[in-house]
Amino acid sequence: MPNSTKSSRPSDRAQSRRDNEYFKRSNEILYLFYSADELNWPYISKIGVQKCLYLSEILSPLKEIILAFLNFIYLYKGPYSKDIQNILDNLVALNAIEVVSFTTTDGNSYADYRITEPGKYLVQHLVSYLVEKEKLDWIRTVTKVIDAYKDSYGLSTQYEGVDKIIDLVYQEPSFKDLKKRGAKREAIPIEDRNNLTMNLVNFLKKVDQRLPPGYEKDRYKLDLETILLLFFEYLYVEHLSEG
Amino acid sequence: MEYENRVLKIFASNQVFEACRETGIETIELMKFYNSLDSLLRKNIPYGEIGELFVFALIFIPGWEKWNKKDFNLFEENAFVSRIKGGLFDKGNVLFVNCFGDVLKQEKQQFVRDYVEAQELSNDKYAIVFYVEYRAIHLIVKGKSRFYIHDVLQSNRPGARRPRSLPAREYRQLIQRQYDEEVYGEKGVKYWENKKSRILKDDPEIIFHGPLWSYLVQYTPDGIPDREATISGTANRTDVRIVDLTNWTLYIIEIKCLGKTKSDSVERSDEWANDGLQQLNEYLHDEERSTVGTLLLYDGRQENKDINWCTEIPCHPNYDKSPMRFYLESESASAKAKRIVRNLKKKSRE
Repeated sequence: MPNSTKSSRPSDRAQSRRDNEYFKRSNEILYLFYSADELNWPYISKIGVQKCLYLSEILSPLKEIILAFLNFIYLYKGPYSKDIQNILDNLVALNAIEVVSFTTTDGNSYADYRITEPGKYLVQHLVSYLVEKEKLDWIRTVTKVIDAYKDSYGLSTQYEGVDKIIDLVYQEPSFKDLKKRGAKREAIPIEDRNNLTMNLVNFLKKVDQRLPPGYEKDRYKLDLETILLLFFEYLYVEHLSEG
Repeated sequence: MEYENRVLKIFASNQVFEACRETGIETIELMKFYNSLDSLLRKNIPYGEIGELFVFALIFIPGWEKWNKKDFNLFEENAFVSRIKGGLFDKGNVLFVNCFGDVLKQEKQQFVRDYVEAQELSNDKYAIVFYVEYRAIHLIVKGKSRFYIHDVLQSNRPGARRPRSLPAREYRQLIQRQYDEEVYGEKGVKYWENKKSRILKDDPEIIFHGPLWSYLVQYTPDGIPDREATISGTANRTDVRIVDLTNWTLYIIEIKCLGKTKSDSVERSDEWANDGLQQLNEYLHDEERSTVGTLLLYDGRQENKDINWCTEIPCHPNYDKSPMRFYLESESASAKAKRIVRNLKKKSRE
């Protein structure tokens, strides 16, 4: 008995850690739905959830915020995390989100989701913890910027609504690098603070200091939201340049 | 790093960012509105049918507030196009709109007929006015034009690579091209008050600034064009300048318009051109940075004749070649052809 007790402790702790990570990830996905609802998005598709969370995660060092990182790999339709689908299914089972529509075509399934009233209630309670509120605020800001670009001219007509930002995600430097190298199924280095995305973000943070002589640099100091917006504007301009 | 100059260009040329700096409006909110407006105006709007009657001013109301009691949503294409067909924009309305495109109210009694009225509107009531005039968009903040797109269907985002882009140092070629494509025959820029009598609108230099600046923003990927930027250490302001990001050279463009204007019946001619040359000399002398400059003349005089340059004005070493002079045509190509044929016939009879 004593032996078996001893041996079960580390595995309990590991299980507990895994559960904890899982709940954190679930909360973050719920925050995305909550933010989307504030902006009156009628739903988010599976593709949309993947792309929005990818951008929230890869840009999170900008706010010095720690998200429960999902592992994203390079797939045909951009960055993809297999964990997300499991969490979405569980959130549906918990009645925190609901399926708005579900179709299957050529063996692929397509689903659209939105937050439920119990889901909103849950978020309102979760954010009484400061750390959770910070996460919601960050995801809300990223969602707002995505919202600002989702209807821009020149984005793919193949997709609708928020899915259109797939064109901007293709221009995201860390993903684009893998795509250029044809490194399919390779993990995207989200947690690496020296990845190409962070190089660009760090340049944006100091962009006012790089202006040519004659510019009143103080006037051009950027806040976090504008840095984020400038990052998206860069992605958009890159997309248009490929025209 | 290859993205550095591109980011600088995007950052310094994006006038939505600039408008937000001036007003304190949240940049994300204004960009959301601008992106949706840009997208809307590129849709299947029957511009050909409605022509130049398509004029309206949008007063942007910030705050991220969704309006339940709205007249209609500007960004719903069907609602928008049906209102165009219903004549909503025929006389230049004022629409109060939030970032979602909800139109709260329309002031039918207060028509905005021209850009000057739109400017006044931005001064008196609210911070930001978008003035849409056919396919052109003006963004006006506190009475000042911040940004102008002469043709939304032809425009692209500052910083985007375009097939006909040129390096900033080729600015003279770009000026020539902008004249051919937008100025000649008033294709994009309206400058005649009375074409037949060759009378220009008042303050014609200002009329030419915006479109030229906008064109340079579009076609110089490695340069930042500015309007009314100060010469270092002085209060003098250049009309248009370009900062070359590859070597930080400044290209100063001084614009002068010759001819008569609505409120000045004396024809501006040689003296005005020489004033421009002198002014440019002073800018080149005062500017401490590496600078090149040129004089750009839009000539609305009765006769198409050369300028009598004052030989006493010394030419600064950085003065870039000869001034560029464009004689503004007031006749259509067919009318001009008929006149030439008529004169030739007359001559042959003689």
